[in-house]
Amino acid sequence: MKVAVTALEPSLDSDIDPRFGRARWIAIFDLDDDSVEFLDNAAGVDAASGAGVQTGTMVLNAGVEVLVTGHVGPKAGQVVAGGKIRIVEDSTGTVGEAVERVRKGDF
Amino acid sequence: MIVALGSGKGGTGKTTVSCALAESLKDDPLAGPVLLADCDVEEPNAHLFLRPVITDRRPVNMLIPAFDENHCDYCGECARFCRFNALAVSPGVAMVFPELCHSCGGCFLVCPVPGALKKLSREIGVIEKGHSGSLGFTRGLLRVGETLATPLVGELRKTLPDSGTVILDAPPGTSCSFVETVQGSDFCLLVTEPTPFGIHDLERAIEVTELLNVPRGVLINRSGNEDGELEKVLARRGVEILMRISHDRAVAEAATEGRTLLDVHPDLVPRFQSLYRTISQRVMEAKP
Repeated sequence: MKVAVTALEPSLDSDIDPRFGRARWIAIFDLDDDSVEFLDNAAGVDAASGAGVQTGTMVLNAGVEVLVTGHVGPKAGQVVAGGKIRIVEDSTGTVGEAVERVRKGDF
Repeated sequence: MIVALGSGKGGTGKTTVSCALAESLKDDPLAGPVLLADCDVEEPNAHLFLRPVITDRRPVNMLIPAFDENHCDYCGECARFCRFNALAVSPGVAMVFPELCHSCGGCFLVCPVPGALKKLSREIGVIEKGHSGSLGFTRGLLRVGETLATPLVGELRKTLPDSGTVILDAPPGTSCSFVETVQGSDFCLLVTEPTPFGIHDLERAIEVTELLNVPRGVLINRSGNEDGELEKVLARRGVEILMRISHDRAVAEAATEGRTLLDVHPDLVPRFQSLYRTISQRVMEAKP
């Protein structure tokens, strides 16, 4: 199972980025093989409009089942809902802690 | 001749001056037929003072894409092309966000699959035409909730006559809808006030007119004994002060009752007519 977490820095110790559409980085964890990849979302940060649509598409294409972030806006929500992803909002703490919570089913 | 009235800062008197200038020129033989076009389509207000009779109203539509999921293979070319992120495509998911679409038509051009994108039309507002006595009037009115004012301003600009005098009441600020209004005008009259905000935003507006290569001049509204800083800035930038209207509380009070500047100061009519003559001269001088 893959999990996406929005991150301020490309590091497990980074705080969760409370924004989804304009999150600086998207951490993609594969819980099956414990791998992690940080997707650069500079395009979302700098988007003139539709940042959430752009970032939502990126997360859909990554094939994740769970998304952990602060807040997902209305347009991003529609995009992500199209992929049947479970969204966990109002999340705080570090990226590493978020993944551990998902691993334990504690969310 | 097309004269656009801008300001940068909102509330400096664009509409007050637009209406007074139009009213002063409507029976001036030199100006020919006069039309006032309210280009502040997000919140037009010139009609409150001119009280025009509206004789024509037509909708303005924008072309938007829609997916036909029987044909779309989710390749995502359209979404990658769209710089406004109006399209979202991922395997099994194809969505359009009409309010983000700028109607450029690029998605139709890059789509490799015939029939995957259909063309739909969406109403974004209306253009109204009418008159207030011998003064012509037109305005754009953006539908409530729409965010894209620029295409409506563009459509309104296309309906303007080539002859006579057209006065454009521009939106405040210096963003796209202001650019769309001023672009292609013969002159931009910048209405400002001698305050720090007025000066700051005026400088941005001056820079836009320079980029657009539209000749410019300034009308200082609410002028008093604190014009010094503004005068310094204008001198440094080489922008001419064409007219001053003194600060007068009675004008503001009249405006709250829907009365105009000329209702309070009918003596300004010859000064506006003379302003028009100066502007005509500057336009002639600027022609190559």
